Amino acid sequence: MISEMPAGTLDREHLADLLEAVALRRDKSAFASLYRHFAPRVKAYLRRQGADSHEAEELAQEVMLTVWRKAGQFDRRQASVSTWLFTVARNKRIDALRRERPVAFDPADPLLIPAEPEQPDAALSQVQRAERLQEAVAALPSDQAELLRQAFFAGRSHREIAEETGVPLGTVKSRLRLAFDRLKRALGEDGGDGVEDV
Amino acid sequence: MSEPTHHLGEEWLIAQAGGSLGPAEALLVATHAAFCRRCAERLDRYEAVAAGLVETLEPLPMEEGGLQSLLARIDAKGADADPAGSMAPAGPGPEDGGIVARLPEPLRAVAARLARERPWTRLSAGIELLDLGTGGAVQAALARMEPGRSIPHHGHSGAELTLVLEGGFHDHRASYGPGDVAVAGVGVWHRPVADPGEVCIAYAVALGDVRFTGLPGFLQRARRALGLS
Repeated sequence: MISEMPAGTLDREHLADLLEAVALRRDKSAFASLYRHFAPRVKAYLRRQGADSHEAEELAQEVMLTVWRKAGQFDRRQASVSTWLFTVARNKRIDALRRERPVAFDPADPLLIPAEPEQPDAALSQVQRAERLQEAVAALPSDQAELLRQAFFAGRSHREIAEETGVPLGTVKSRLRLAFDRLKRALGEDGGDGVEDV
Repeated sequence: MSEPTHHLGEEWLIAQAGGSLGPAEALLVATHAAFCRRCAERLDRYEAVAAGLVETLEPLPMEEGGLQSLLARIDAKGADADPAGSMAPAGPGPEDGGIVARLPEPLRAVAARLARERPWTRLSAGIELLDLGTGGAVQAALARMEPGRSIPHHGHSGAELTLVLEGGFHDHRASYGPGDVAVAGVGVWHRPVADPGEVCIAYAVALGDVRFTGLPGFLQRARRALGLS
């Protein structure tokens, strides 16, 4: 077994190396490193999505098995490992854990997010954009991160987020806008030309 | 083909990226993204954000021996084969005029599988449906509408999303073409009419009950009272 850095400190290049080792050489030691880094995080994501402890454990195992099988589809020039692997977990979740109640988004009261400029910043590759976004998410104030988790992982409308968290509706909306503003700035797109409220 | 002009709101893309939509809604959003470069790019970014948010969660330890048992499964099965590859490829559908074969992915695979198990049924004159639902609170169907034909006037107790795949339809609010998503919120009553000259194929997801007015409403209630639906 290769000696491993503590989970959480594996850098992105190293993660891509590991996944390629799995794809090209069926390297089980590399797979074990990926498992140790990602399986507990996938499990936490599935619990957050409403799976009980047993379901989360089983599905996390299924996700890692799919990672083993589909590693050959990963292209480090196109995707970051975190996003690629998360997509596997996300799709497993949609199929396996039927959401109990439909989302309650009100088309008359949409989430206002600063629109992207029509031409994305061509200087950044898709992988670079993903990495910058992930760094920006890690740097968010915890109150903003929690509201984002409510929107992404619980599919709550901002009204439901307000009810769930006890944060007033107006504050929910403005905090979400602040969070998305920070993420946009991380891509080098300042609130300048071509940006309008949706 | 020109880009769609009617999209879902950002909260739909965000929930899709995070995996919070049910399978029918997720399928609709993903298929819209197959038509719509703008939403596909936004989805990519939201997926990156979602992956970043997973890193903010406290990791939950896996059970003792989990890795070993997974490695044992890998060894035992010759787990290199992707099970999805063993599904029968979508052949021509039964008398559907090739509708299913022309659908974009990811919708095509789902519709092909269900079209082999279920028949198209007639909703009203010139309107046929293929049920794509899974029997839960959310209803989903492929609709085939003859030119000029309309779905009877109805309202919804929950939102209804309709993605146009071929042709187009209009109601009192707007016209919708391939890739467009028509969103009818709670309380919206409408009568979608297929545009002239071309059959309209659409994928519709209803998040609550659909209630018809007039004769179709009476028939709907009568069918329910008799236990026929």
